Amino acid sequence: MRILRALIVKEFIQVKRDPATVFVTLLLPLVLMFIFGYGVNLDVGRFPIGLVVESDEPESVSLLTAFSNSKSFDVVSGRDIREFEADLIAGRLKGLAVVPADFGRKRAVGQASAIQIVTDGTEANTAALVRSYIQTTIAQWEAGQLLEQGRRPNSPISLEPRAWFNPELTSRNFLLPGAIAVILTITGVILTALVIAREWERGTMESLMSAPASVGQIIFAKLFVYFSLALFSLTLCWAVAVHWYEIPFRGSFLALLALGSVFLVAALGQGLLISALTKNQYHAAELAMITGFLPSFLLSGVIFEISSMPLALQTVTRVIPARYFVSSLQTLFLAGNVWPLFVSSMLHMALIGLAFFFVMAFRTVKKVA
Amino acid sequence: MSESSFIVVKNLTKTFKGQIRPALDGLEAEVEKGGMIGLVGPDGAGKTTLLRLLIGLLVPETGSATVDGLDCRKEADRIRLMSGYMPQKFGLYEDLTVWENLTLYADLRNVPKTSRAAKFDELLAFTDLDRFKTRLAGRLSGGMKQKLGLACVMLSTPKLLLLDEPSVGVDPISRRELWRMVTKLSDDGLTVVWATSYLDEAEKCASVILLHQGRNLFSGPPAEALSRVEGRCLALGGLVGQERRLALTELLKEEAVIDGLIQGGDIKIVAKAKGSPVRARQGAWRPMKPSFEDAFIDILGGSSMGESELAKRMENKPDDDAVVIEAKNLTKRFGDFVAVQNNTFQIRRGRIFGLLGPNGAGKSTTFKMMCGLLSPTSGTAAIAGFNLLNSPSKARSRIGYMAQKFSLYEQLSVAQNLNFFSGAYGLHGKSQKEQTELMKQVFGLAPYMNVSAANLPLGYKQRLALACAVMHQPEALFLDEPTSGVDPLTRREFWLHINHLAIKGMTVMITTHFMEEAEYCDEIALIYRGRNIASGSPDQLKAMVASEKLKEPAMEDAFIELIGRADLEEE
Amino acid sequence: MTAFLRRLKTLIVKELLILLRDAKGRSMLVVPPLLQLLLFAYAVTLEVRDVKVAILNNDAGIHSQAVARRIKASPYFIVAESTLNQSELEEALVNQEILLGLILPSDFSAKAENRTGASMQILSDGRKSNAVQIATAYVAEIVSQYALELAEADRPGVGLGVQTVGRHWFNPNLTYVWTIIPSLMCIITLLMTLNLSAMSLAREKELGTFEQLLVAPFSPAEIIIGKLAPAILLASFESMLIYGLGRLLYGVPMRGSFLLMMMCVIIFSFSIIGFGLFVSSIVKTQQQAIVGAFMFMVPSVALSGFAAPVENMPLWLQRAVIMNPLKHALIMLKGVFLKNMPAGEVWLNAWPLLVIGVLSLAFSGWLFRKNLG
Repeated sequence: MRILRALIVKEFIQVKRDPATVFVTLLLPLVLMFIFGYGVNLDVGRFPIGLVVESDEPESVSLLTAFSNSKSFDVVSGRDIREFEADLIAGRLKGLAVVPADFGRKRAVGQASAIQIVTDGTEANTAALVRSYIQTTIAQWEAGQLLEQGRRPNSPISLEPRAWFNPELTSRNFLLPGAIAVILTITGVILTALVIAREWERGTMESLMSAPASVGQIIFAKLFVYFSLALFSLTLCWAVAVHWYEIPFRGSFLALLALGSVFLVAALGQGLLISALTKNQYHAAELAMITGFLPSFLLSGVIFEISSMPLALQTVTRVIPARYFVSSLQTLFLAGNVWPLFVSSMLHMALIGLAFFFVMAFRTVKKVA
Repeated sequence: MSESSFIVVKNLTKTFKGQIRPALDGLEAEVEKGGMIGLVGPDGAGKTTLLRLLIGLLVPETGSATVDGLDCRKEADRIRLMSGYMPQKFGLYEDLTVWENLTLYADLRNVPKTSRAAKFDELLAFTDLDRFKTRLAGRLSGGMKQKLGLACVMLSTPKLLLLDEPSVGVDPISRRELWRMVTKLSDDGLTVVWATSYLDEAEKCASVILLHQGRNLFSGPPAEALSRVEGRCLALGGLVGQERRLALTELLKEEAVIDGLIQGGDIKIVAKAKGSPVRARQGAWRPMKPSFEDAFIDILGGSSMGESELAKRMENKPDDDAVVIEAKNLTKRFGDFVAVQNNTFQIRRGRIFGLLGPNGAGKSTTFKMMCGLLSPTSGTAAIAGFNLLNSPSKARSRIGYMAQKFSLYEQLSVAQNLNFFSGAYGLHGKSQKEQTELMKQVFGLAPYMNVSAANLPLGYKQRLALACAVMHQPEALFLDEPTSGVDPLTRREFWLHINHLAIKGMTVMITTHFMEEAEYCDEIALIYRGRNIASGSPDQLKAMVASEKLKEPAMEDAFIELIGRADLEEE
Repeated sequence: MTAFLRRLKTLIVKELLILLRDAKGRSMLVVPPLLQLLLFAYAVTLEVRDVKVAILNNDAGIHSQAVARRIKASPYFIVAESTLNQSELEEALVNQEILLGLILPSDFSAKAENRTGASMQILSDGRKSNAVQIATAYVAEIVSQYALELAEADRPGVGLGVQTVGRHWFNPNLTYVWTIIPSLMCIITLLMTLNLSAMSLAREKELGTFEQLLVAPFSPAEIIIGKLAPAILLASFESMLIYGLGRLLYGVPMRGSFLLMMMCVIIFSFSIIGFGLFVSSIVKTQQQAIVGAFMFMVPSVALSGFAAPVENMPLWLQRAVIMNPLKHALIMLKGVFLKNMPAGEVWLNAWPLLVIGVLSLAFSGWLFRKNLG
């Protein structure tokens, strides 16, 4: 026990004096919170679109006005669809709406008249959105027109959507809590993936081991310190989310620490395993990026829905700790303490973490002998 | 096995993955209790491996080792409790202060808090470090780190001290201090195993174990080893410059001579048997006191003989007396700190020039400026007349460089390294193939052509590094501590090549800590605190410090004395 | 001139040998890109499928039954047993067992029959607000289709106002995989070349071979090109690998020219390597190089438009990301693959990359000389 305490004290002193560690635990999370908060946004933006109005009918003009006034679009108008082809290819326009020449006339006599919506299929994430926003704008214009004419909107059935926990459906409210999981994965994995390699390089691993300190104690001391640092980063991110971005936090801080701790066990374990498996820092770095950052970003459910992925992939996500942490964080912030969910997440993460440690211990014992 | 054996090693074998030779090869050894035991041998001999095995950091494949009756495999914990192990690089935490390091080790070793304060004071006083209690270990000089490392292992008052090359890379003054301290400890009853590649240290131990390629070649008191070569060491004096080298090469061809080297103005040889006539050279042969290295070489069966194949096939440089390496008012400033001040020297063709000095004195900075690694703040450095700053590629293509610890591409094979370095210096096509073949033959690299440089035994790494440095027939050869840690045989062979290359006209600049290497030089500059405080031939420097007390000073004495004088002048 | 080329050849051969000589290194060149391709190609989808939904039908009428049936029949939804009561439904929502809870009030069918404005409640889990928006849109589509049929029954031919006909150009079925492959090509190239270029100089410095390079008659320019060329070769190799797999496994079309694609890759990797070498020249250890590379990679990926559109960023940030090479690369490569983007258009996206590359390389070279003292 006292050996452990001595080692932990030593680690803390070293960390205090190491600029790189300070950078990774303090600066990096702040920078990443900044990037995820402002840079990754799935809410309605302003899309540049082209509106082809083939005639000067009053309805067409009115529709054009409606689009121009819309907050979602920056509209360029023209006469012919061919004017805009190059722009669509270049990506300068994300979509087109073509109002045919006989639009107004057909409407007046109650005939069907179709507006063509063209979207850029290469921007898969925006294409559906652009189409849907254009449709909404048209429907709203339609409803406005009917109201002016004193007629009832046609639809006999309406919908009353109510979103719980995030009524405005602000994407940032669910993205940022999820981003915290990504950030913590990055700091956790980077911190530990380089730890063992560095210690061997400096030749101090040896002298520690020759004193009555076992490999296990040495590693535990390091992990403990990095664990504390990561929890500190977590608190920092939480503070930024709540006080700067004003994301609601309806759960308890204690639950945050509990979830974070279990997650970190898994994340640190992963980093440690990487540093034990690869023997050089080059490969460790690559592995950290590939198995740490990218899965936490792409496969954890932060941005892309897990249930939409093919079944095989969904199974893969079950071994990614970030997946559980993300959903827990989103719940913690927006819904509050939902313990059944939390307990299940923590169990999963703990299991994954234990698996990592087990494999790592097995490999290390073999190597030293 | 005698009753008083403290450490017993039987048939110990250990091989590391990927390495060609086993690190320990059926080693047998015994160590008695009390006193200083020198564990001697070059790098790669197995010293570190043996020490690590003794305290259980490694596990042997076959054989056994016991310390005070405790088995190294099963009872390593208990062995660690009663011993102190100081690894290479001293095992210090550079980010921690002196005090923090001591505290850490005290905690790890369970030194009771009550007695801690007293113990710390005692150790700090003993090592003269109490002024530096709050300094970061990384900021200490080499000598101070050494002492701190020692203090840390002494905390638990061990019965056995295992020191792994404690004096490597440290200047001679600090080496002597450390030796004094440790000897005092062993006088007080401690058993000390001092692993080293410095044979002169070994000589001072009570008993030695000579390791070579993982085997025990000799154990016993040094005097016993010396007695083997008693009466077989002779010296011939009165030769200068190129003459010495020519004479040495001739002598080495003789059958009756099993070893020879240059020591200042003398040529020293070891004859095959007592009283063997030396035919090649007549002259005033004087008998010499044998050194431990002579004994070592004899045990190994003599150094490699004959001429340098390499040098034979190298082209002759023009037979002029041109200045090949020149420094004029060379100065280097790092911010406010003046590392090198106004150094001026000229090295003519075919000479061997040595830069000596303690670490941090400006020796490496001067060296780096001369081979183009640093630009001087003022002054010029020129090779064969070409200023390194103004005509860099012309100057550099005439340089060959061999770095400390060799700096080869470890991930590449021998052949690939040779190809790279020859290509770097402009060799291609036929000449590249020819030179590569030449190096392969001369250095015996044929069986290793496809081996990664990382897996080569140390001696071969050195050969490869030398090959890569001279393949393009440079006019000037720069050697940065080329033979530190290498076994005497390899060092002899190396100097065989260098000497012969010098005869052929290659100009050599070398930095070294090995005083005997300094003896090979024609001229030496002693750099201290950025200035050239003494220069001359090795004999001239020795003459500077000769006195009543010290009639025949060794190079090391000259070094220490001259630096001492410079210190006095400062005050 | 030829001496220059020969020295370059020496440097390039050395770099390539280091990369390819050991089996582990070789496998690291092929296996990770492969894995990433396989894993992530299908992960990145903003489509919403198999959404878990619960329907609480408080009404026994035909219209509510009809709507419920249609929702059950939809391929987008997986409907839980509709025997839940309100509080069970809400609990399921809180525990994330369902994403949407649809509640049909007891007067739904009556109101629908009388065309007096029936309404259905949708309770959604705002924690996954993105999925909710899309899922809600699907529900809306089903419901409006049903409403349209009701209106048609009343007055055939009246339609429900304006019709829209949608076409996704370049990718009619909005096959996400088609856009992911070019994007992954960029991201994987970014990763591999950044790592290589940031670490290689740092590693040589740590191992001591950098000194050998400096002493030898290599000029700083030669050393830099000697690192640049192999890295570009590596990037090209990786891209060709991904191209082959993308076309073979996923059937991604190539409507532009292969040559144009390779040129885009080369220019992109040029800018990345420039940055990587810059990182390499300011750090002292490999570890610092890793941190530096990460610091560049993560924001690049997050702010490139890959996950979330650039248009959604605040204006000042949109202008700032012009300096993000990945952003331009994504546009170029998707354009070449799917839109047959003309060379002139590609150039508009390419020249910022050249500028970034040249600037960072020049800066690295300057740092070189400064470090020499």
